[in-house]
Amino acid sequence: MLTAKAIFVQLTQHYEKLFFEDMHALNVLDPDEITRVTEFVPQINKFVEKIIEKGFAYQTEQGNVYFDIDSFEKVGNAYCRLEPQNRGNQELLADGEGGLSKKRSDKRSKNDFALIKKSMPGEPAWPSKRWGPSRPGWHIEVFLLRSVIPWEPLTK
Amino acid sequence: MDDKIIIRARQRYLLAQFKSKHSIFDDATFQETHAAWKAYVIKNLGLVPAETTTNDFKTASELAYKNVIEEKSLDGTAAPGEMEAKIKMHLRTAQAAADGLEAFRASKSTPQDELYAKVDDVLLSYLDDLYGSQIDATDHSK
Repeated sequence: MLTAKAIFVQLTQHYEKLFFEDMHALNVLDPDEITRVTEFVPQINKFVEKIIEKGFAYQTEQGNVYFDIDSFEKVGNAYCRLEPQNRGNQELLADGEGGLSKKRSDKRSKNDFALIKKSMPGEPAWPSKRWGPSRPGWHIEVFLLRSVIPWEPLTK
Repeated sequence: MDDKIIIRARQRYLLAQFKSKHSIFDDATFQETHAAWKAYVIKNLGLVPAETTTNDFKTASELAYKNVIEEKSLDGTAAPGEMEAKIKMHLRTAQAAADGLEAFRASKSTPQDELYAKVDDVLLSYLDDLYGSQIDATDHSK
């Protein structure tokens, strides 16, 4: 039997190849650096621990970690997951959280989103001393990649 | 990591496994695919009566989702939105699979590529619902 890693890598490599074929056809140059979230899981886990320390995230009994939008906004920040006109749209929020998360109901607020998801059987998992077999939610990875890779600012 | 990618990867893997196990589309393949079609209709097209067969699916689904087919909202009172677009997609998928199953019933020598092209989509979610959680997904060693 194929290992699970091969299953997921097959799919992502397939679409990565198609993506770059399209980019080349459009005469778009290759990026200087390609990063994959799967190479940064330990760093993401550390980053999430820092968010918890700051009081903006919490771990539940089920082993998931959520970003705490209420506590983040209480200290004067704003966090909009959706376009302003869709604020609080539960269907769109659930869609963003992913099809494997429909049965989870351990959030303090419906608007919170997963930073770390406990991996269930059949879901890719990375070891973590703190959370056990788990994976990053998909909102967290961009922040992390943005902070560990030295990029030029997007606007100068 | 996006759940969509995880689900899709599992589905494609399980479908490839299913196809290699059923390299000839025979009666057993038909039975299992029929169960997948049935499960798809129950899960995604709840207004279609449970006793509907592949043969009368077109009539039954057109009646059950008359408003959606006529470019209205499900309840017929407004313009269609995303939900209606999803229902239409499910109707197309279920109809294609029903056609494929009917084609096999009519002629067992229907080319299997042709059959699989019609039933692929109902098999994907069916196989993942049944076997997705059995995949050992913890091995990420390089």
